Amino acid sequence: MRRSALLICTCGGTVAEQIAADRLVAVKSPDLVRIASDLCSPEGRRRAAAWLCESAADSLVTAACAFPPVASAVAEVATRAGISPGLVRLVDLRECCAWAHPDPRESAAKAERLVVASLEGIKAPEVTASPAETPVTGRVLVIGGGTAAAAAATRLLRLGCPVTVIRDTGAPGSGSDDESSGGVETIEGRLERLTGQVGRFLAAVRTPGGLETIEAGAVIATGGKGERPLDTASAPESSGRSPAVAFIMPVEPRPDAAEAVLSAAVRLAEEQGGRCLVFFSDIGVAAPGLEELYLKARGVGVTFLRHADGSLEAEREGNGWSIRVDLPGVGLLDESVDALVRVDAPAAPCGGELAGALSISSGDGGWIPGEAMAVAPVGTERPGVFVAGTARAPATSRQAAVQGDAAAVAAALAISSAAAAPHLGAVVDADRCAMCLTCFRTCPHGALEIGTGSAVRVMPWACRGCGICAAACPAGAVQVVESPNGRMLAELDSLARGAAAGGPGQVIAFACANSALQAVQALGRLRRAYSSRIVVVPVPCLGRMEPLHCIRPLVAGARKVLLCGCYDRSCEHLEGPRRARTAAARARDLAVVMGVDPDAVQVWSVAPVDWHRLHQIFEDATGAGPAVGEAAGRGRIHAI
Amino acid sequence: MRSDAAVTRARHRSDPSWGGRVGAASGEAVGLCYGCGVCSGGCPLASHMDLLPSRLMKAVQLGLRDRVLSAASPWLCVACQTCAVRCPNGIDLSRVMDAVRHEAIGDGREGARPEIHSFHRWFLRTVRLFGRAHEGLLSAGFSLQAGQLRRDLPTGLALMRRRRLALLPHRVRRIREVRRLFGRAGRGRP
Repeated sequence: MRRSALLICTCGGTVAEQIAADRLVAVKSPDLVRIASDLCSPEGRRRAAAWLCESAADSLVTAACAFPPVASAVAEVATRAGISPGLVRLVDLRECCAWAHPDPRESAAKAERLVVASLEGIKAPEVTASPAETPVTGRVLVIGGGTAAAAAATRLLRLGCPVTVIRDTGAPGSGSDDESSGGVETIEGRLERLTGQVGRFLAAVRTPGGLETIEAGAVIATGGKGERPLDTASAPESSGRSPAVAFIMPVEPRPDAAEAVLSAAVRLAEEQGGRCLVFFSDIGVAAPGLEELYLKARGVGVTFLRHADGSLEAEREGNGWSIRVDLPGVGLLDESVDALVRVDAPAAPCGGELAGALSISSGDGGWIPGEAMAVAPVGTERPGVFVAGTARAPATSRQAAVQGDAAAVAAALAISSAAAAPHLGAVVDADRCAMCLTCFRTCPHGALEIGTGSAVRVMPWACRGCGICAAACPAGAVQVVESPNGRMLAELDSLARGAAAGGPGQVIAFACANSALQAVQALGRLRRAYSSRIVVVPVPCLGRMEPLHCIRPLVAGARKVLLCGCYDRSCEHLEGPRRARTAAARARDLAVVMGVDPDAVQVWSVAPVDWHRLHQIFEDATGAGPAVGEAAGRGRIHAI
Repeated sequence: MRSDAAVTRARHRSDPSWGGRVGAASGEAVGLCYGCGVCSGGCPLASHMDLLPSRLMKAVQLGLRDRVLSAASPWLCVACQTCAVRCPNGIDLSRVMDAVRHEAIGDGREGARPEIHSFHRWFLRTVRLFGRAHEGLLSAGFSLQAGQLRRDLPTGLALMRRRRLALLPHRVRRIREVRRLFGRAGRGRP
């Protein structure tokens, strides 16, 4: 019999107003209880760790909040106390209970349900083997040899991270900085493939000497030096008078184009007394330093003319050009200039190849735009892979330096949080494995290998813990430590029965940790109330869902089962939503056989920031009971 | 609102040195204007102007001499300073308008609205004579010159009957000082 410990954090009183900690304890008495209020402080964590080590518990349920450092701290505490990561459960008392349900009775009852279910879950017989311990690597791989790479390497060295720089001998800008920097290992080569996950990447690099593998905790992709289209533009030789030059900017100029045009125009006007006309439709100076340059250009007499696309006519006239443009309300401008410079959008120096090697998506022209400009400006959809400088978009050297610096800090942070968290991933029960190779075929990351033994092996370098293999394994031999099947089912049974307060009729909402779970937490933080009958069950990816997970709660008395996860194109594990839809379809077939409502199983796509949509989904699931089709007919949300 | 298609459709060649001269005469950094149009948006006379203040600035920057000098806008500007207060680049447009008016006079042109210049001259004449404006002489002189005495006379007589228009001017005590001011302005006879 396991010795389970319950650690409750009342969040400095924030939760205590709504939920009485001692009542939570009374409902289902665990073996050991500790009530704290300061798990987010180092001191509070130290005390909790000491208590846990002394108590000799072998499983832990923590009822706290969704603040990420708390989750990683709890995992750290449990690892130190020798508890298998599969037997650690975190219940979100704050965002999912106290903050989401204004009525104290409702939030307290929901907290009880969640805590009881988690305690029952960790008691279930389970595979407890932890995956092979793989240490986190502090080394950061920087791809590229330009300003962003130099800025990133400098910052990383200052942060104490070893750095490996991969420079492509053929790429533009390589060899631009030939400093022999201490602590930086430089490899001439090209990245071919990146496997593994944050903290534990394995990079295959093609060098002149052959294929090399490098272990790294994080990767920063930068471009080459980047193209500065007008660096060489100078005034044409014209005798006797100062030259006149017209620049035509692209419709949506990238900052480097704007910088190049502005600095060339300033040089021309200042040094040679030339006359500059700059035709633009968007001046594009929203980058550090460019507003000042624009001001300077106007100060030295450069004339800026806005023109609609296509309204400018230019034809050769002697040695120069004759330009005609309609200035609205002023008239037709008829100008002769000595030179006409048309600036076009440059192509990505690295093409889509780099994105392919990193298994991330690239945008138009092979640029890697990054995940979200506002939320994670240097992040990509692959955790632990960052992008800066001219790999992202044409950038001025100042921008590239700022981005390289930011990426370095983000990479160091990612590695340190990966080091604090236990490595969650798939484990294989060799006794059950029939070597059918279903997992081998389904794993989106190629993390399973066929060895010489009688069972498949998980490569911890490559496994990203999505659980798609666990859902696919017909023998139940593959499990993910983060959400083992036995524990999931025990929890679901408890929740669906309404074993604690609440009774049957709950709505079980599975939430993908990459998307819907973040929206759920946002709902809590924004105090957007929804029915307390909605119980959120976090899963690493919707690909983890099996038909049984959907049907079993319905049979046990749940009203609905919602599968909320990423959109198809943004799933980190590529196949999650598609597999969830397949699982839901099978569950619906089963529902007909079992005599429960097949429409009770629904699959939804929710972006991490789209809490509004999630709220609508929750409202509809607990409302008067509109079916999926009706909800879609309203035009607000769409069933998939 | 004058919308003279012939003017706006005419082809213009720029003369940057002229633009620079107007800028220097006004003492304003004309080049800094980036054409946001706040001046045109706030101008109380914009609806009467044929060349909006912001567009006039663009034309001055380019040195479109004929376009600027043939426009009525500089003559319509009443120097209320709304544009100067609102300009994000700190340009005082009324001073630029002033410089343009001087350019027009120097060029022998009085723009699209010569009667406005005539009114200004009559106003200054009365100030020079009496040290303060005299509406009687001002309106009589202006009406005579503009050839609209017939139209303005009944109004003037009605005003006199109600003692709103003095027949005899008031003189300031030290008229010499006013004349000295005129002399120092250096532009001679207005």
